[in-house]
Amino acid sequence: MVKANIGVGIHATENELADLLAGAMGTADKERVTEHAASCDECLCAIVSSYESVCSFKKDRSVKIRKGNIMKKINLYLAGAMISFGLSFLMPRFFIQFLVATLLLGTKWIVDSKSTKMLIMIYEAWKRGGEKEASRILKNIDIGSKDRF
Amino acid sequence: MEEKLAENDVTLVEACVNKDLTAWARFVNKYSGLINGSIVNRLKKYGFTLAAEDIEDIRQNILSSIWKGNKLGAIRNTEDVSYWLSIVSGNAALDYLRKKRHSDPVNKIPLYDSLSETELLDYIPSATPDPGQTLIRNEISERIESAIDLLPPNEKIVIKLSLVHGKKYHEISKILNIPQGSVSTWADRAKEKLKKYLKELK
Repeated sequence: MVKANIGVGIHATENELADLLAGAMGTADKERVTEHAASCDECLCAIVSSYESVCSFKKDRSVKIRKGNIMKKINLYLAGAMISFGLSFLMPRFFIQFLVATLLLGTKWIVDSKSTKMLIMIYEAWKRGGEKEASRILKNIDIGSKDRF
Repeated sequence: MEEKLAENDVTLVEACVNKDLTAWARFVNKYSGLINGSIVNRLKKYGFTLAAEDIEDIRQNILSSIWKGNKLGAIRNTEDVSYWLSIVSGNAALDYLRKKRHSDPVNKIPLYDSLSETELLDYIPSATPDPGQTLIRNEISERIESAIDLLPPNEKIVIKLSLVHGKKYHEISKILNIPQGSVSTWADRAKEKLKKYLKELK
C-alpha cells in the first residue's frame, strides 16, 4: 500500500484518506482514520485540500456538461427546422403547418445561438455609440476568447 | 470528438489497468484539470506557489508514475477516483517542492561580510511587528492549541476544520461523512470546553 509521503512519522495512506472523503469506509476504519487526522495536521490538510479541489473540479465539469446539453438542444432546433422544411414539400397538404413549424424552430435556433446574441449586442452598441463602441465590444470579446483558450 | 463527460470511473480505470491506451488518453483528458488544481491548492495551503512549467512537470511525473507503476490497480474505491488522485497529486507536489528546495536553496542569505549595509537591509523585514505583541499572540495561540489537543478526537477534528480551515458545518459533514447535527453538537461541545479551559488559565 502507498504511504502518504508527508512530514515525519506514520501517516494515513492515500487510499484511506480517499475512502474517508468518498464515504467508502467501515465504521471502525473511519474512526481510526478520523482519530489520526484529528492529531495529524499534514493528513488533515491533505483531506481539506483534496475536498476543495474535487469540489471545484466537479463543479467545473457539471458546468461543462450543462453547456454541452444546451448546445445539443440548440442543434436539435436547427435539425427540427430543416426536417420540418423538407416535410413541407413532401406533404403539400400540410405545407403551411410545416412552414410555421420551420419558422418557429428556426427563430428559436437563431435566438438561442451565441453568435446571434453577439451580433445583436454589436448592432445595439453600434446604434448607441457608433463604430467606437462596437469595436470596444469586439475587443472585449477577443480578450474573453483568448482567456478561455 | 465529443468528450465522454459522464463516463463511469470503474470501466475507465479497469481499461487503464489493462493498459488500454485509448482509455488512458480519456483518463488523462478527464483528470488533468483535477491534478493541476490539486497541486496548486495543496501548495497554497503551505504558502507556496509554483510556476506553470513546474506544475506541468509535476503533472507529467504523476501521470507517468501512475501509468508505469500501474497504480490505478491499487485503488480500493474505483467508483470515484477523484479523491485518490487529488491526494496523490498533492503529495507529489510537496515531494517535488522538497526536492527542489534541497537542490536550489533560494532563500540562502550570502555571507554578510560581502554585502553593503543597504544590501543587508534588504534581508531584514521592513515592518517588524512589536516583539511584545508577537509574544502575547504566540502565547495565546499556544494556549488555544494545547486546549484543542485536550479535546476528544471527534470534537478536535470538527473544531480544527471549523476554526483552522474555515469550513462550514455542512462542509465538515460532507468531509467526514457524518450528519450535520453531529457536527454542530460536537462543535458546540468543543467550544464550551475551550471557553472553560481558557477561563481557567486566566
